Amino acid sequence: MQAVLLISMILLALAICGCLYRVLKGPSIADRIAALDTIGVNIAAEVAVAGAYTRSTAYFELVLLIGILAFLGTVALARYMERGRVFDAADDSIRD
Amino acid sequence: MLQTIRFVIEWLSLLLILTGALLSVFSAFGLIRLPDVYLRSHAATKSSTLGVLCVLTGVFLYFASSMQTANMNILLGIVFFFITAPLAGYLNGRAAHRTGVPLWTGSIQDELAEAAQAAGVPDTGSSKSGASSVSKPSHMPGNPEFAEEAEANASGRQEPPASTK
Repeated sequence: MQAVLLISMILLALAICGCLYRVLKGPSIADRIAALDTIGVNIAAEVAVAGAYTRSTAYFELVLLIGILAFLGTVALARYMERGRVFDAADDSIRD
Repeated sequence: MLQTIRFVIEWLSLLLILTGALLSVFSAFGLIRLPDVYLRSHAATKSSTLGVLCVLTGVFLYFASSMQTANMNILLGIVFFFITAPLAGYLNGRAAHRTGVPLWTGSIQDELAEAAQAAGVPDTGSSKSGASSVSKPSHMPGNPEFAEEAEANASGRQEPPASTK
């Protein structure tokens, strides 16, 4: 059953490579952001499978941490692409 | 008896992990092959979320069966990914439409642009303006709530598909 986990890890690494192709090639910024988000999600899954492979629970904080960082990065990039700045909750009311 | 149950749960968890990894591969395949930002975000959001949920559920069951530990980090991660991965895809798609990323030439309908036009909001009209307006966030509608209202109108209204060539 270690072999199944190893095959799953290889498949996830393959998926990350496919997303990396889209990050490098993507014609628009939104393509790259979507691919980067998918890469973050896949890395979290890969870390979880690595924890099962080594039979250790030490990695499982990392799953949540990578998920939060990937989500915050995606939100910040999407907002920056849309509005031209990241934090604009305060100056929504004084927009010209 | 207990040994049998543990054995079955362990192989079920391995099957879940393998299924999730395969779904992630299909998601990456769709991300490479599909022609458009919006179609690509379809692949990147849905199947990728299902893949990571399958993998995390499988890892949780694996540890529950082989080590008799219920890991709360994994459960929290499942809930978190279930909420945030589609939300990130939605934000990315909205930002792409507002900055004028062009649709695929085979797309037959752009309801958000129609609704913005009907409401008088100067949406950047992704099917018309093309990628040239990517660096112009000043074309944004001045009132964000107005655009939300236009989006809400689009879902409730029944119109024949306009010919957005």
